[in-house]
Amino acid sequence: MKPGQLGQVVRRRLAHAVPVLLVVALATFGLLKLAPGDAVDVLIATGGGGDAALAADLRRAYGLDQPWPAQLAHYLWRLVQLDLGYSFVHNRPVSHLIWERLPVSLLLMASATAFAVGFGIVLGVSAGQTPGGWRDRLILSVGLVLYAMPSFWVGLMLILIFAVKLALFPVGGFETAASDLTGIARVLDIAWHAVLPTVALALLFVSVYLRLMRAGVVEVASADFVRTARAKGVGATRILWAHVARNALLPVVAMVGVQAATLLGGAVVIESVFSLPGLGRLAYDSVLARDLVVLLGLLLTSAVIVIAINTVVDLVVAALDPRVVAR
Amino acid sequence: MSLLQIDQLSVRFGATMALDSLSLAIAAGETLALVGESGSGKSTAALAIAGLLSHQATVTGTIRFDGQALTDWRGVRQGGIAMVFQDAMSALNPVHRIGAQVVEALRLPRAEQRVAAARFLDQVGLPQPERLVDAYPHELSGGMRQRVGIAIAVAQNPRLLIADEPTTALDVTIQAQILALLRDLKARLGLSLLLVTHDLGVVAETADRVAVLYAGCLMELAPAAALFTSPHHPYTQGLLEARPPFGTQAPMLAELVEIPGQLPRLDPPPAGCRFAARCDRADQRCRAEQPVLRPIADTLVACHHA
Ligand SMILES: Nc1ncnc2c1ncn2[C@@H]1O[C@H](COP(=O)(O)OP(=O)(O)OP(=O)(O)O)[C@@H](O)[C@H]1O
Ligand code: SF4
Ligand SMILES: [Mg+2]
Repeated sequence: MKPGQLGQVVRRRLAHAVPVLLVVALATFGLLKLAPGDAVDVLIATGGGGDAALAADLRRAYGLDQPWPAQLAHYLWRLVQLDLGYSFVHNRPVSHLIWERLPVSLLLMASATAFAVGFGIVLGVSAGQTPGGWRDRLILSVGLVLYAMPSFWVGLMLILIFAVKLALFPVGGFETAASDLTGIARVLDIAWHAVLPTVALALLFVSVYLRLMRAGVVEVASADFVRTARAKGVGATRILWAHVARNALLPVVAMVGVQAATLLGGAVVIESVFSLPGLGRLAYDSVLARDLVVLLGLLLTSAVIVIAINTVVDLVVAALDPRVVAR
Repeated sequence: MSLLQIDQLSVRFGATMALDSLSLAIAAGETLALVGESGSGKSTAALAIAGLLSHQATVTGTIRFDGQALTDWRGVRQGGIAMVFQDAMSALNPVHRIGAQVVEALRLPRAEQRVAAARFLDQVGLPQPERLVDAYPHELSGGMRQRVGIAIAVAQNPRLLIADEPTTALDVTIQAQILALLRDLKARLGLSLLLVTHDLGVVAETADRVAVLYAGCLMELAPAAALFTSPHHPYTQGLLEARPPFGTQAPMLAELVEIPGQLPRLDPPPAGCRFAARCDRADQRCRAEQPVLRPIADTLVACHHA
């Protein structure tokens, strides 16, 4: 991929992203207005009370006495500056809360995707190599079971077996608390904590990607260019990986983008199961505390994450398939 | 001695008898055209020779190349037989660079690959070969892609080149260029050419001898000149009558076969002569007894009444 094409892919994706984000922002603004009471009511309630004069002062200070189009403009302008509002429950700006927890969620999503794509490719290729054979049927059956198992249940089972019974992995958490680990030791500690959540989140996607990969391998195996490769005298292993799997991989990578929202939803669940301090936990706590501002901030963040994942996927696809940019 | 000697080659796909006891030979430096309407078994014969049949195929008979019997029906024919395919778009891997595809199987050191690839691209008349090495198939026109397909074949240093309808997917002007290239390569490299085609115009311009296939059976094998002046088999005669007068648009068997009827089912094939259902000379004997090839002048004909 040439540098100019990279820019082209990013521009095309961002052109799609702006209207999507605008719609999400309008929706969050609408929800904010529909909710009973406003920020000042929350503030006064959490602050232990106050009189009507104070409330009016505060409303003026926050611009809440303005007509709603002005409020909307104000709201959007704040969003552009990455200001997601202020949480009176936490007494901190929402953006700080989210920024703090974002790495945990992103790390979980990235490791689960790598795991799922890796195993999906290997299993899909070995299944699709001999369609209808015993290996194919075995792998497809296992895939179906993985697809049918709810990820929170998988997470609990993994904890029960590998953390409680066998004591190979920690029960939960992002890293060992108060351990003062630094550098490589800390990275390894985090990775060790990430194993079970990663597997629990990834298994569903393993089944999705392996079936897609298998279908691709079966289809590409009968393509004319594979016959050309055989005619040239290319070895069987190289034909399988460099020609068949290499082409069958393209729809799998594209699928990672389609699955982005499902992945994020799954991560939220898995974070609660493994008590990981990520966005999912923040959402859960905010629901319990009725912290609407944080929830709406999370909604916007989710939209941005899904768009970001799709942009990355577009770039990877463009790097893997020379025909994409020409299209 | 013949470069390629085929004896009693039969290919079945399940119950379908795609090729029935084909025997023929190709001499060194010779161009043999294999003609017949769609489904007559031309590609099956070509793929069997090239060792590219799918696993569903059951093969019997012998093929000798340069005196050596080919034992593996799905084996690499390295250093001897190379093949050019009909659809050059789908015959090239869309995600690999042209140069890499040309030299992929040559086991060259990395440093020599570009130069070697460019040399093969130059050999098939592609302009700016040093730049084309880095191009992808979708960046090339149909005619250029077919030249790349031919370069891939030439890179194997073959002595027999099989071309399965190499021009069918191309414009008429490009068709003529590709055929000229094949003739030129044949002369320069001393190749034998097995040219599978629908197009009798191509046969007239290119072939030394012609084999006419019908429903998996060899019906007539004749020097090209003799076939056009005095065809013996009723099927060949029908084909030539269906051909428009000389100098008009390229005649295509697929569209022009005006012999009424169609190929018989081949699962299993009918008893007697395969052509009997469409032949106006067919009689009792034709429907009961399959004709064997017999010589008439310098032609072999499989017909009871020729
Ligand atoms: N892989 C296969 N499986 C089953 N039947 C096949 C297969 N390949 C070819 N056949 C059958 O064998 C017969 C001969 O097919 P073949 O492709 O050799 O014909 P052809 O002369 O090359 O025709 P065309 O001009 O359309 O390319 C046909 O009846 C076809 O249906
Ligand atoms: S053998 Fe009989 S049916 Fe067959 S081509 Fe000759 S005349 Fe026609
Ligand atoms: Mg064919």
